[in-house]
Amino acid sequence: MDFLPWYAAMFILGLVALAGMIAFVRFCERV
Amino acid sequence: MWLLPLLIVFVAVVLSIPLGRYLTKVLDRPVQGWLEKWLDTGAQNWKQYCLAMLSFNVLVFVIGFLVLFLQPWLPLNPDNKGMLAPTTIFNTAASFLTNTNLQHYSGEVHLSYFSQLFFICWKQFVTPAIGLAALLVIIRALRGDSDVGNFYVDLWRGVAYVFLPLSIIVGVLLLAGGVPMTLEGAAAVKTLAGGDQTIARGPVAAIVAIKQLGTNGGGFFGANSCHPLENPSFWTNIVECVSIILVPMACVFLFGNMLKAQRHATLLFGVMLLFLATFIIWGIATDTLQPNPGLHSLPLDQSNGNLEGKELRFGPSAGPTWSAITTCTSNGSVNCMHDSLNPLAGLTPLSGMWLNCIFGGVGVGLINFFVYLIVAVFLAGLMVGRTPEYLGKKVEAREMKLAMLALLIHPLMILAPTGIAAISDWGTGAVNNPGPHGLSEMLYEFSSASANNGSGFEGLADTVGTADDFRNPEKAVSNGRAVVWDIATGLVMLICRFVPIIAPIALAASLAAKKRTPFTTGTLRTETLTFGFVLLGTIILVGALLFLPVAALGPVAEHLGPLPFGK
Repeated sequence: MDFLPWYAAMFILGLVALAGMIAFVRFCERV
Repeated sequence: MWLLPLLIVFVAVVLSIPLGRYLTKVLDRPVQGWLEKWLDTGAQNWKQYCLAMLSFNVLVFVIGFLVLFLQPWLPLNPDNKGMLAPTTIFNTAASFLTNTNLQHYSGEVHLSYFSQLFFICWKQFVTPAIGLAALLVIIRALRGDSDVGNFYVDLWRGVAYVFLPLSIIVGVLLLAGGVPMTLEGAAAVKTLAGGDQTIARGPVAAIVAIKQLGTNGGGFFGANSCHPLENPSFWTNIVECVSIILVPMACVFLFGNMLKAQRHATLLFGVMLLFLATFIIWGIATDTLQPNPGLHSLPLDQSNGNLEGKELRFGPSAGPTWSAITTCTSNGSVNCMHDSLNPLAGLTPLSGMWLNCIFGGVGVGLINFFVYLIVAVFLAGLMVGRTPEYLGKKVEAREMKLAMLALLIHPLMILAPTGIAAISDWGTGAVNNPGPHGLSEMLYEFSSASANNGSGFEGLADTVGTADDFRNPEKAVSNGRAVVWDIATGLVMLICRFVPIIAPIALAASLAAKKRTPFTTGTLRTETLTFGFVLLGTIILVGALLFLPVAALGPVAEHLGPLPFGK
């Protein structure tokens, strides 16, 4: 568990990327 | 030599026709039964459908990440597999979420049976069903339905009525062919020479069946379908190879059946088949019919072509044949080492991934082809001076913008990171070979990630591995590079899974909202041979413009270059 911040960062990175895809849906709506 | 690819393609084509009818029957029908009624949250428009799909993917990512993170404490771990490194977990969670199955780990070394079954196998059922659902949205929109269906119902139908029954059939065939299926730990045996050997095993047949049928590609063992327990014989090789391409082929017939445009679908099928045949012939002609140029000074009989990195139990042409099929379909499993293909033969898997629409991944392959179709219609319309139309709907500026978004994200996510890797220490320091072959290794990795293919050229130190490796100070330099590879390919996989799904769905919905134009003598007919050639030319031209320069720097330069990597 000595690298817990790394695991948390990778977890958040995945969620941010998926949130970006949700934003992309909104972008496609406006194109 | 030619009999094997002919047999595989022939059997797949013959089986895909009834399977296409079956897919239409189970996927295109009203909601029925208590479970479907419970899952049905109501009719969705394209935006609601995409948001439901993405929300479900967030859930799948979270569960997948947690299963890998908690692996040491979860059950079904008889060989005491430990914790993976954080970036390897991110890469693996992204990889299996996106149907890529790029494996920055080795199954028998790093994963417990729980992870293999409830992370790998589960996602291998769910993610192709998501691709199939995305295709259904586009077909319903093109058909002019008032709504595009319900994501949860489509997902359930894909898993329960398509992939589960097919996997049981293929799994039983593989069991009969000698693929193991057990929850016992690795077997400790005495060799004939009296030594000790540990033989990894596990629930292999279940995973291999869905690995192939769902265009997943992630193997139980690190060596994938080269491994004798994952692909024991000539016959299992044929079963697996047919399984790879069966559902993507059937999707084309599903498309034709649902739109009642069978002639149009047959034309699309013909164009795809022509590309596939060309890739297979190119692979065999440049690899099985040519010696390995790096071995010509050795006293070797190379009359059967380049056999380096091949499994001879499948036959000499099995490697190039599989490499074409696995990369055209976005599957990514391998039965030979692609790094060992002759330089020009390496273009076969690379081209399959670059086009990424020759049958392609389940559902998504045809979606990619649909984008090329729109571009072809647009070009043909411009050439004859008429407003382009597809299935009676006008293709205008908005549709072309969405098509370009879907089309260009793929080369952007391959060429830009490869270029950055080629001038960075994390890229050049990770390759095992100098010069053009090293560039091909980096190029292949990003092509595989972007096409959601998952196969590896290998020869690239692209992952950290376990948590122990991550904290090992002696591996600080290689870990520093591998962290970048894990994160970069993970992000490429996520972006290139969803952008090429969402943009074409928005495109199809935009077409659906338009009035149908009456069919006149001036309407571009999309079921004729002429349109087939336009489509063929469009795919070749667009593909060549995007990727020929980098092909010249990698495989072609290697072919023309000095020994040991050229003539």
